[in-house]
Amino acid sequence: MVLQFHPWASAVEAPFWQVLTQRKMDIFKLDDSVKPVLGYYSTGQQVRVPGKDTTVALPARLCLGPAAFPDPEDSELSGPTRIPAFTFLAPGLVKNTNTIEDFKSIDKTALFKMTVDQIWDDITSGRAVLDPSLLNKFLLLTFADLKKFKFYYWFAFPALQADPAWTSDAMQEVSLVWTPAQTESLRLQYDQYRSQQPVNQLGFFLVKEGREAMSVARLQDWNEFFAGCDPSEIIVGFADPSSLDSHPGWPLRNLLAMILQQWKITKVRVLCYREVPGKQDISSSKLFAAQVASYSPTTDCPKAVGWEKNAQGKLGPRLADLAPLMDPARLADTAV
Amino acid sequence: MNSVQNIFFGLREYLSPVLKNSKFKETGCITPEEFEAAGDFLVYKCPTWSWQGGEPSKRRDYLNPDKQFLITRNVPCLRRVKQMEYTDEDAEMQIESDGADSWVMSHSSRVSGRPIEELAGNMDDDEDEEAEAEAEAQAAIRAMERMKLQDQLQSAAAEPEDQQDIPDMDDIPDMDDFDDMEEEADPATLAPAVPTEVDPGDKILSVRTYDVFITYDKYYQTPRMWLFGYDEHRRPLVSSQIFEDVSQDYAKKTVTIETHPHLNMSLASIHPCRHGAVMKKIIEKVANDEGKEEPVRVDQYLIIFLKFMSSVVPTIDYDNTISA
Repeated sequence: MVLQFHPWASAVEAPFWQVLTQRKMDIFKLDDSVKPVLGYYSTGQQVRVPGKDTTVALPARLCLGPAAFPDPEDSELSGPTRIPAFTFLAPGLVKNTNTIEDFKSIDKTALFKMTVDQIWDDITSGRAVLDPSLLNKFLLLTFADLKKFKFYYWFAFPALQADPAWTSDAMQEVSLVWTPAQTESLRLQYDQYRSQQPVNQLGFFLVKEGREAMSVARLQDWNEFFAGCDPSEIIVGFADPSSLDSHPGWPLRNLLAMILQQWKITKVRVLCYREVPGKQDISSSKLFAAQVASYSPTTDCPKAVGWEKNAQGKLGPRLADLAPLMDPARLADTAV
Repeated sequence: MNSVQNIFFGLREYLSPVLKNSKFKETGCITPEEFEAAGDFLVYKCPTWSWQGGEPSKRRDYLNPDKQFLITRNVPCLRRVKQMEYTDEDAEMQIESDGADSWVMSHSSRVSGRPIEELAGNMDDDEDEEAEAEAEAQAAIRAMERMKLQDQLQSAAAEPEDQQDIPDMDDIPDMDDFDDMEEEADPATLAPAVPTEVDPGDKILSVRTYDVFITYDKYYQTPRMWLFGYDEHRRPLVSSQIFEDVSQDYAKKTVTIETHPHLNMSLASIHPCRHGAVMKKIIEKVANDEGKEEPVRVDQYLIIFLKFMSSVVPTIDYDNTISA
């Protein structure tokens, strides 16, 4: 069956809009060129419904917090310390327009294409092998109505389309495939990997299965790590924001595109790494095999999809109305 | 009105001396150093919590610049308080499991020992202060235990689909220009989930999420909890919606909308006026229950505080588990 991916759901923290407002007034002013931002995500989580024997899958959230913009006084690339513990990097581009008219008439297709081209270039040049977080690059269009404390925004999470599409077998819980000792070994190995590697290496990684002990390595170590391995032994892992039992999350799409392009791999086992943060529990992780019918060498950038739908389920912008929380006039009304 | 109040609160905070000596067992209050120690312990035990520095201009110099307040994000809140139901069965088991504890038997109402109106009416009366704190502490302990019990009664099973509400309003009316935007159909994009099975008696209305903050309140010398909520489409919740997630005994009385001390924003906050007295009672109760030689340590303060807070916001499921 065709492998289907669980799309991102954007999740902007309210303080992000405050920081955007400050940047707009103090630094960007009328400069509406594209700026870098930093998003983050956790692995997927299901929560139990109180009093019921069921759980609910939470959305795969890509979050923007108050540290999304680099600190203007900090010349260092302080990205890695700007995201919460147990989260993963998603670098993005933001275009903040000066007027609502600009926001409406903005050439969205061109900006989307620009982002897709960057992702494709990072894949073909090998930059994304060295820094896999580049696979998560996203685009954000904004307009901040500073008088009314209203923020219009639209995310795009570009994913390269595979042609022909990837297919897969059913996803299985790790406990059905691996022994408890293997799963525990993987958890320990990944924790060690996390403590030793820079944060941009954490979202995508390689796994080798041993009878008891597992091993984990960076994507850039592919050749040495899998030297002498049968192709069937290759496992790629990714921090999976999806919490669905049947579908992996969006970041896997560009990873599969890179695997095909870089290593000409048409069949690969995938580990959807899902953890309960801080609780040393990876039992909800999933495994499956993905394959694609053929690989034909190409240098042309594939087509891509990924505009986020709004609350009405349509392709269109969203609105965050913070007047009740930021407008001094409105605050008086809600005071109890 | 609100800004006058805020200036008053600000001035009062400024004039209050910083608590220097530990009095947490006698009063339930803690010093800024103890707040930091308890925060460090919370972050260590529950790593979804983290320290924040907040707005540089709003830093308090009696707190570490990088450890001004605590935050945990995207905490799920599956349903509204009014949807929470406790059966008679639960109540009976509750009493059994509590054995001979006389105070449990003396309270028959399920959330608070006494109606909050009664408590609120006596709020300024010093003589009743002790009794009120006792009642509130007992209510909190009961709620905490009830949740533990509920927890034990439940088992997990898979139900992967996200419940979606039908959007009821047009978000952005003047955005018609965007209607021409279309993306090619993509077979590899998973379509939004359609609710397959909805139990009419217990429909999950929406999965809200909360960002939860804990600040140090210098005037009351206790931690203070703040809530920022989002609906299932990630729109910020307004105060009336947030009150749906607050135990009805507290909504609009001890939970108010105020300016966050480290952010330029108004948030719902649980007023700390009786936190000290209630914490003292809960700490005594915890110490007695466990029958341990060693007393409750001050670095465990926030873990206990969070369990107390979960009786105020019972459906917001933040991590306060000490085991890990």
